[in-house]
Amino acid sequence: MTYEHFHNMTIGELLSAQATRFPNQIFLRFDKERWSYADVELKASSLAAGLRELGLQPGDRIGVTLPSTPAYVITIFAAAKAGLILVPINVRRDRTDALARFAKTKPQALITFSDPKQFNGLDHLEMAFGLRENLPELRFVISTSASKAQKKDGVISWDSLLKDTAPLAPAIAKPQDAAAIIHSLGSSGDPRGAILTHGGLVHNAAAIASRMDCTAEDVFLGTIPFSNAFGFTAITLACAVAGAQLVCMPHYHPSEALRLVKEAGVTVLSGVPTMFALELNHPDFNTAACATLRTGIIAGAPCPPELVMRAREKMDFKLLIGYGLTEASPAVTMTQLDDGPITATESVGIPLDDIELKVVNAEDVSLPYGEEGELCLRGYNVMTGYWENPEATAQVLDKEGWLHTGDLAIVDADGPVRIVGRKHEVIIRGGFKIYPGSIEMVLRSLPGVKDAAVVGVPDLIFGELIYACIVPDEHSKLTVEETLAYAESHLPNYARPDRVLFFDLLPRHTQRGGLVQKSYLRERVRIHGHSWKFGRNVDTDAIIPARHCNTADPRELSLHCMEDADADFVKKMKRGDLIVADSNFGCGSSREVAPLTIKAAGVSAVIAKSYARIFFRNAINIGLPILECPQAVDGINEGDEIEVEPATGIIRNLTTGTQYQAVPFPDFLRRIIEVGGLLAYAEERLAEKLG
Amino acid sequence: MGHTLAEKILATKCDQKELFPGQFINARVDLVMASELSGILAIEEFEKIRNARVFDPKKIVFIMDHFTPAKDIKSAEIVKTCREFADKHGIRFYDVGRAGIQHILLPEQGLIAPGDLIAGADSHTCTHGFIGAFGTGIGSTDAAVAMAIGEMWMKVPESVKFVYHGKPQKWVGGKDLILHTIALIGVEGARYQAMEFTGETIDSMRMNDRFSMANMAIEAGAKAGLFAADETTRAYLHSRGRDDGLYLRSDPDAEYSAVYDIDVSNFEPFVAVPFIPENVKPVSELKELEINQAVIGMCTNGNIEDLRAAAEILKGRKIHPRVRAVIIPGSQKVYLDALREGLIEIFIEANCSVSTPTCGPCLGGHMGVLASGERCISTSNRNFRGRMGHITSELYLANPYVAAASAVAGRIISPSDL
Repeated sequence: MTYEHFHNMTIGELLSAQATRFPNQIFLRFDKERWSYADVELKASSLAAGLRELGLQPGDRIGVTLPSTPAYVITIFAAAKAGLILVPINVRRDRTDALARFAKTKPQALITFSDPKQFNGLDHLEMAFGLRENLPELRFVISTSASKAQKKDGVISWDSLLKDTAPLAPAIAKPQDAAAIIHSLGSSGDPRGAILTHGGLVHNAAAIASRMDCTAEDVFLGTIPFSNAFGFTAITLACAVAGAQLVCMPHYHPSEALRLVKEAGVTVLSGVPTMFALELNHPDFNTAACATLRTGIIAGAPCPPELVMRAREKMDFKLLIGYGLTEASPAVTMTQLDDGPITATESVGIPLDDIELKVVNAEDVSLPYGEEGELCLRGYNVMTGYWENPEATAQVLDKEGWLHTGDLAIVDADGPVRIVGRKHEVIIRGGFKIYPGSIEMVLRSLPGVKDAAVVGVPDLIFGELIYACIVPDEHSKLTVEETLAYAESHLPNYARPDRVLFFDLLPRHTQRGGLVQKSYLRERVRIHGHSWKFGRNVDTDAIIPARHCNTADPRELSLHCMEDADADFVKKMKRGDLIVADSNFGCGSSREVAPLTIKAAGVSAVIAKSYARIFFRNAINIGLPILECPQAVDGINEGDEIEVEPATGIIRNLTTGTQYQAVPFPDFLRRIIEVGGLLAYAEERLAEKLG
Repeated sequence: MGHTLAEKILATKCDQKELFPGQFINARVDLVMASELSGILAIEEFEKIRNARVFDPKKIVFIMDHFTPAKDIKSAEIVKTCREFADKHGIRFYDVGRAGIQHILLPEQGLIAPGDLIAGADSHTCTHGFIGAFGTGIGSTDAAVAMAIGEMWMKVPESVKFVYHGKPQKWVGGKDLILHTIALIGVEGARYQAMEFTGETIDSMRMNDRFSMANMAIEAGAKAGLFAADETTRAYLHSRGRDDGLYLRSDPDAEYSAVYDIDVSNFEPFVAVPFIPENVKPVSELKELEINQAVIGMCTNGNIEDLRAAAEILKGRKIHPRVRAVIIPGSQKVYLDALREGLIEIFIEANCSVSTPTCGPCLGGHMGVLASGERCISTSNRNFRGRMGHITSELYLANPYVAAASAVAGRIISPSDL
């Protein structure tokens, strides 16, 4: 299905069209209740009329902070039909967060609810009233929690706005008009409201539904909050485009998701990587219960290939990887149902139709295919700008309409797009975007801290964990516990460091104002994996052109050497595991082939008896952490769970509970590491020599 | 306290009066060497260094030997990139027809002298210890940096001493001594150490035998494999136009991590059996192992003396009908000498093929790659699984006499059993 007929339509028109085409088809399901497309059309139209009767005018903003219930979906369509601009706020946002988002958008009405038990005592209705003190424009507080609403003066009951006999509101909005303002975070962590149009959102939803080959037979599960562009477009609107069913899920929990998949016969399961990790690791998980699953999207954070592979295997469905951003309504690229295993797990697929991509360097010059640079896109789906924020808009949206994503990517001529990193250093932990700068500021204010850097470290459950790297003052006796306690009292719970590590110094760029080398630090703060003792008869130096890859190019050889040398070994090993080099590993390998080989295999660190050996010095030079620790090599068995902190040289065998201290790098190597590798060191030496 | 040869050489490279094992130094290099395989990566890394120029074009050499003559478009492109880089920077560049395998070519062309520090982007750079030079393998990033600043970082290695006694019997050469030594200490036995080869056997040993021994020091994990330069060395280098260099020796009271006394008088030829060079057996224990291929030459045993040894066996004989034999002279000069001496004729008469100098099959590259299940005897230095071809193929390492005799017999045998 191409769903081209949805390419120039408002959100209200989308629902009307589907209510005409599938009047009796179930659209929304929640517990035992069911709403057909005709039911939702009727309710949305009457709510639209109710909202207009309050005096709200087209173009007015209407805030929504609701769990993902049918009421939310009805509100989305009602606001659209009334010509109001929806400003969704995640229910997990506290008053400060909400205020920061409403301060500029100034909604005239706010639809909310009250359920403090579910939200650690946070009463959203109370919060809404509190907001009115700061938001004089906020005239109406509407609550879906009827009983509570009646008790409170000035609260309008959501139900009371639904008038059974209300006339269908005439179409007011046009496809090019703003439908929603969804917030994303700027590089300093400040929220910015991306203005998304009706046409952009519906067209994007149609493209998503088409890529997933959705039909009216499908059943979507509402895992992602509808306040998020992913949940808004890729779940709610894409479901409507297909004329499919949406199983509402107000509070995400992996066991609940698994239960609903089985009981409701869900066919389309989407989520952020954390959700899939939690579902797969859940004791209730079993493959048979996922029998109805057909496809879905994993997106919202970097997707570890092994997680995607595991989800595809264990859930036995064609999970697609999506890449997008709020400012793009949100989907930009997706993998395809018939992709091969590597494309399906290690890329973000190809762009959706009618979206142009390019990659630029730091000077904004377009790069040829295959080169790494900042990904830019242009198309119907790009926001019209940030609400009342022309400076921020100008930073990301250029005069030719290119949206600069801040993500570093490689785009091939015909091949899939690969996202390789983030231009800025945002950490996404469990779906929350966290800006290291704000945490670093707090940590630097702690007495005894000389310097601090915060990095995200890949984690299979949370996507990333927050690591605080602290350089204490010379005579400070600061402890990890004190640092964590301080962070707890000064930071929101989702932004607290998961680990605190102490350093003597932080690696900094020699140029670029001496900025901390985050990518370098990130690789070094912690490594966690299982150990593999590399067989000593493995020749990582072996060149296998005739046998396998038929090439003389050392860069290509590195991708195959290890597998050729010991295929079983490679099959057993997981990306991120460590190698314990028991013996003459990579016997005599002189070139980078061997280090490149183990990098290609995804090895995160090597524990060796001597890092000065040719093989290992190469590895150091190309930035692979090597720890010299003969005791650890002898004390670790294959398969042991190991945690390594290369910065401190601590090696923990979590299986046996033994801890080892690797030989510290000599000053000489520390300098190489400090400046960021051998090439940077050479530049320093050259400068010295020149005087 | 006295110092070892390794410590003495390295001290001269960083203007230190003395050095001790474990110290980290930034040493000046006398020669940086790369093949096309390591050169291509080194060039990429070099070009990432801002404002980099080569520190001294006369002290850098590019030798195209691994996939030459270009075996495919890719290798041709790689060589082309290396040539353009060399032209741009005025670096000495050896290509097909003028080249040879880098370790044979360097001394032959008089590019190295005793006491030199040679940073080669190839693990067998330890070979140059055979003339008393500290040759050591480096990575391409190291090579890039050495080309730019003329220095390499290094930990001063401990030294381990091997003292060889006795006169080797007929058919026994340097290759057998080093195979025995690797078997004795294991492939990890000299991990990050300088192996120092000494003793009366060494004093009377020919340069090509010393060459084979130093070449395989890396197979015991060594940083370098050193022979103190002596009068044999002086004569060898004189004929190659080099009368300079530092003729250093270890002090009598130098400290070694270990000293091994090895009596070679009862040695018979040794063979390293799959899949690791320490898996060494006397050739007499390997009777009846049929082979499909024999490869003689390349770097470990690619000197003219090695080809003479093979020719001594093959003269007037034909190789076994099942067997393919590939003779790979170590350099153009070795090839020409062999031609003039009539060795090539002997090889061809014996149904051997003769290749242009190349690393070729040693690393499974080209010029004699093995099919599944095939067994090969080779004078090369590594016999890891799949090293010369298919993962199920087997590689046995031996000296040129044994390789040639086995080619004739169709199975692994000692020349004395022919």
